[in-house]
Amino acid sequence: MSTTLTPSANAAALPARGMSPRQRTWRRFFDGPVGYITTGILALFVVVGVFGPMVVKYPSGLGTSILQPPSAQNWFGTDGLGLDVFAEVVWGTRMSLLVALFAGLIAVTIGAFLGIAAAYFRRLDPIITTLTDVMLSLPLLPLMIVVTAMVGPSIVTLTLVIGFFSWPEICRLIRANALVVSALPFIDGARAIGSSPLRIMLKEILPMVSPLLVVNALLTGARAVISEAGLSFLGLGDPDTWSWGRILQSAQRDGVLVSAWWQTLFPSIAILLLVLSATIIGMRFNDSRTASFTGVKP
Amino acid sequence: MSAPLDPTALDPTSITQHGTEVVLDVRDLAVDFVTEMGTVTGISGVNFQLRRGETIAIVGESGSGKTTTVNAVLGLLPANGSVRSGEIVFNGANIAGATEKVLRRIRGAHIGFVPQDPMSNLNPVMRIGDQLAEVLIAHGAATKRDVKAKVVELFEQAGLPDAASRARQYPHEFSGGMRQRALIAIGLACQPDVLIADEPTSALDVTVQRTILDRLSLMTRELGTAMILVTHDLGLAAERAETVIVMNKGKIVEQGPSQQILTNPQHEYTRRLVESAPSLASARMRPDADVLATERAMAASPVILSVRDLAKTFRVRNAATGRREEFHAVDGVSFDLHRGSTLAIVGESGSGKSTIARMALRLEEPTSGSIEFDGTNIAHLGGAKLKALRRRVQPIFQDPYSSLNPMSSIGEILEEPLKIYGLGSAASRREKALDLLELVTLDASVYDRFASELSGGQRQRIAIARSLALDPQLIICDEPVSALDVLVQAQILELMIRLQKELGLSYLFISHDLAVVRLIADEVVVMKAGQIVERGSIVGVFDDPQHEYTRTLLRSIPGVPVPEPLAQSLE
Amino acid sequence: MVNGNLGTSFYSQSPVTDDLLTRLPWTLLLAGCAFLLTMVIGIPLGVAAAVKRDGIRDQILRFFGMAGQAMFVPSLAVLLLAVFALNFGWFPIGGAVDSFVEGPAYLASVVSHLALPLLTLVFIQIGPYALTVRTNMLQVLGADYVRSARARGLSPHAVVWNHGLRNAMIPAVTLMGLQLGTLVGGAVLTETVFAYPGVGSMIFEAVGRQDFPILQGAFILLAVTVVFANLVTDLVCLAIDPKLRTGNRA
Repeated sequence: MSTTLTPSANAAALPARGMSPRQRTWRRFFDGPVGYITTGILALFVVVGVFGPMVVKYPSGLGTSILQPPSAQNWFGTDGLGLDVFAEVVWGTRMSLLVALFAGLIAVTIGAFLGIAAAYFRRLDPIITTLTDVMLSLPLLPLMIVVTAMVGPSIVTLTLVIGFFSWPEICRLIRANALVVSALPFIDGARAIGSSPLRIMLKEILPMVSPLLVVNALLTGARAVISEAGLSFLGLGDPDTWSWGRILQSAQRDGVLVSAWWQTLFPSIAILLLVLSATIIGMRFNDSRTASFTGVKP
Repeated sequence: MSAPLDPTALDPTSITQHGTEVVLDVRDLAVDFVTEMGTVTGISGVNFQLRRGETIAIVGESGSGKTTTVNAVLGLLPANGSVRSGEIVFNGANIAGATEKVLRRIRGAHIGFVPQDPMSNLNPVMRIGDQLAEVLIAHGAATKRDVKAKVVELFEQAGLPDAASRARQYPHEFSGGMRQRALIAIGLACQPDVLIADEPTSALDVTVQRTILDRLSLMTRELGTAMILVTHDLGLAAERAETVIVMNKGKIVEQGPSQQILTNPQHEYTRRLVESAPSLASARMRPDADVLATERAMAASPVILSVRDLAKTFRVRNAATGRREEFHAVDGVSFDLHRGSTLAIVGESGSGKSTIARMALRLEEPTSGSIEFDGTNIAHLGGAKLKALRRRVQPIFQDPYSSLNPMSSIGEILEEPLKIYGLGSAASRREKALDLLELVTLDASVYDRFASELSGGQRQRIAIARSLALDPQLIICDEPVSALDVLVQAQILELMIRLQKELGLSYLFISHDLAVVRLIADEVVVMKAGQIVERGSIVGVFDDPQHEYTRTLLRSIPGVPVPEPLAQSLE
Repeated sequence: MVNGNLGTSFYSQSPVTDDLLTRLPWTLLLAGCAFLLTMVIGIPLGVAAAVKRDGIRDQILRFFGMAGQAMFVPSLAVLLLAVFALNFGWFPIGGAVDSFVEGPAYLASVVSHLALPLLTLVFIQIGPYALTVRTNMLQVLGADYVRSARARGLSPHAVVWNHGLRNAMIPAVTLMGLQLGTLVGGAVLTETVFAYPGVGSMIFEAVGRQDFPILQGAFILLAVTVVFANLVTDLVCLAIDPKLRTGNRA
């Protein structure tokens, strides 16, 4: 054969140095108002959750005016005990964010670990998959209700229960992705070079699925807010902390869900905004990054 | 199989009856694509004519525009593509940019299509017979009453055995070759004026390819259908078509009678193809004194890898019977690889060649038999000894797009093996990585890039560079060039040969492509269904193949003369 | 427990099984209708959105998809209650049926009481479901065999129905089976708000009274129902997907 090549001929074929894949993802994410708006809303909630309770007093005891519509003194009105609904919503923000954060972390850690293990160790796969399928086919809310009722409601119980029952969904997703990654030749290559299984799982597979993890952590956290609200609404929330679900629950017990509309409306809007923003951020981030690794074909 | 094939009927130049009527006239066609980076030109200035009953071939590598051209003719450009200018005159009318309604009447009925991948191009939940029937009915070539009979008839013509009962089956119950026959039947169902075959055999096993192409030629000749054969293989194009059109980077660089293109290429690109495309280059190779001398020297050198009675059995569930069975992927294989030489293992999918490679890399453990590397039996090695072994035996895999971690920079990829063995400092590792880049003739600036920014050929160079990071002695190459474009294949093979000479490497080279193997291997072992059917020096096997299977493999390389067995055949 | 004895309720002092069985039919009615309606409306919606890549339609569906996942069931229930029952008076406020009615009036009463709870559940489920159907359908429509079908000159109708939908149906049915768990959870909350006398509101009452046998019994009952329904969807898939039936014989 007579084809000869020089180094420069090969380098000349490279396109001009563009942005790294991550930079491109972020640029696409913030291309347009949606990225900014949702991130702004989420940031607002974080600010309120962290600093709000320092500024607003914890609602307890009995207030003077019961079930008053929104006014200058009570921006969100008062509830059946005369307490300021606005304060309840502010304090509830902190609760929702805490539950979302920790339940999300628990679910993601367990789910990712089991998912990657199932994908890499063929022998573990049937066990983990069966467990995941069984848990996924059970109706989650009734299950959480039963467990919380038996253990006794508290913020810790709620966080643990929600986090523990949320991992199967993440596990299934991570496993599906990790299976694809494990089959790629570069994993074989890593084994052939002499990498230990733990190193492969952490350094090769985990980074590949981590964008998925981030997105799903966000979505799981969002769902955790709803689960917590649901459990509190049914009376299984922590009686010592205010949460959005608890506001609705007291309205339900007093029978004023519709008449005292302010008690229903404001927590509902809070839930909707927080969850919707988090969901949109998660989906948008996912969409922004999928075009990153298509690469240059000759 | 039905009607015997008449060899003279397949020789393109022997056909004297050709309509001179032009069926398809493509004039100055240009197609644009709208991408994230702006409008990109797909093809431009494409001019050719197709006469009634003629077969022409469009040859090009990936990105040459050959697929875009035929997509434009069918009106099936992707959503972001459109015809910028030019005409596609079919039977006198310009169909470029015609309405969907007009195109629908033409597609299937007047212009047929045989796609590349038979598995993904058949509806998995519809019976095969029904898929053919719906085309016949849609274009009025059959009524509900006679469609069943017509379906069976067409499948028989395409060479499907048991056509009547096969028609009631689903695609996943067919083999690759049978599916492609079904697709050919569907493509020619309404006796179209033109048939477009887009790489109709690239997704098939090598031994099946020739029979499918023969059947295609036979059927189109019988029906008088003109055919456009799209392929990346110039040798195949010249063998099957009267006229060859060579495309590169969206333009036609040369077109003319096929023999002329092969013997007297005018354009530089065509000349490069003729010179270096493995199938053509290997066909021209003849044994010379130099090669024979090397052979003798190599046979005398020490053995670095010695395999004896190697076997690997998998337990799989037989889908038809539902029982667990034993599948003998490798069944009693023995061979020797001499230091500094290249031993090729050739076979089709399912032959067991890849399994042998994986066992040599100790990604799988053999069920029985021994693998001796430099005197040590590595078959059941474990722990630290295995890790030490891995330094000396390294892999190069087939797919350049998935053998490199897309999330790591090139520098990180090259330094990873060194980090795992704790070799050197950060500075010395970086230096080694840059040395490796130089070794594979890549610019140092590649160090900071990511795999997604490189072409297939460049990525494969990185894969080669990485395999050399630990200064190994044996490199196991599993189809290292099969996923690359033809010209790039030649470059990579040349690189590998040079490195072998410079560094004294030994290669175990796995491939299904005898043409590629011819260009790099010293010895070859032919495998079928887990067993070795023939072995010998590369020259010996090419010039004097003993086994019928080897001869079938050789026949699939267009233009290679296959020596037939002598009169005293082995019965 | 295995022979049907789930214990005795703390509150009513009657066997849990009896209490559950009296309330079960209402939950089955509500959840069953929601299940069917979601599929019947969701699949055509998702398919239409995938076929007509209309910018506006797509955006609306995506929005409803996300809103459905983000919606808190009681909030929506209260909203519907306030607007349609109290404000317009079109529907009753709570309960499953009026007392002392018979025949056609009974049927009409059931339907009018069912309307708002059903609407709540369907509204929540349908967005995400139709969105996933759309995604599946898009994937299918991008497949090689769909393109080949077009290359054979088949009508768009044949391409979408015979080639597209028949393949997209399989994951759509499986998906609905998976949604059952969330559907039941949503039913619990909906029944509570509408005072619909099913197993769901029974759970709410039991929590308030700390009636553990009822809680356990209710959960077991619901779990069994969901598992059973999943089995049914699996069987349906078996009927639709030839690959599962005949296995992979080459």
